[in-house]
Amino acid sequence: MFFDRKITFFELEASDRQEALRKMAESLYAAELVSASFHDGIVAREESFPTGLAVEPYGIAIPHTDADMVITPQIAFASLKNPVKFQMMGSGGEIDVSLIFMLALKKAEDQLTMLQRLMEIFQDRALLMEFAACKNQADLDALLNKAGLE
Amino acid sequence: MKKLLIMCGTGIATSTIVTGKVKTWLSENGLESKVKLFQSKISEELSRIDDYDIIVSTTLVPDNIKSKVIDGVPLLTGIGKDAMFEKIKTQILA
Repeated sequence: MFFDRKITFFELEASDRQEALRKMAESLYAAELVSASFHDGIVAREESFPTGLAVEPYGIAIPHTDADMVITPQIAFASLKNPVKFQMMGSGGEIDVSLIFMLALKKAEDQLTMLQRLMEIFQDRALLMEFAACKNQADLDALLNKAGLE
Repeated sequence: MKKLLIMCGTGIATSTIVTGKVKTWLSENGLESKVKLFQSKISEELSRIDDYDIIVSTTLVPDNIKSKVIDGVPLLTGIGKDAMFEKIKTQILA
């Protein structure tokens, strides 16, 4: 259910993280899944509380913002044509990010199983390479199904 | 009983994952009765941070409290996870 609206980008072209975040947030807004303030919320939060994760073989970012800007929970996915720089969560410092999972979440307690599964996938090198290799929605749907994320 | 705070930027996403993992770890190690867990967002906690015995954060914290905060990101990436649990354990048993 978190990917059913298919807010997805394959080989997204973005010159920096702001552009990538804008394209993804605008797409969530166009689908009426988030409020008009969601994009600004995502960008502001990314600057003060960065979400880059240094996992192998690709850096990942999980941008998100306050629940009151979310109408219907959903996760937007993007693989980037060329990596963009993100600040790392927790420790700070920069990393090159190739995969972005933008989390539009309302109540995390209800989504714990899904979030934990997502983090397990981040620790699975082979699966991450498959996410990066997806070229279209059919590829991604098959992979999400295989990975136990829907 | 020690008060253990788990916090992130919004209090909904990464702190939820970390809380879930810490809960499981506590029960596997027979430590549940020694710890009370709290989950929150950093902006709500900075003013009362001294109320807690142990603090785990997935987000950057101000320099003045850095020394008492354990980085929770290893539970998201899996990298350095055992060392992180060791730090929590030391503080629980201290």
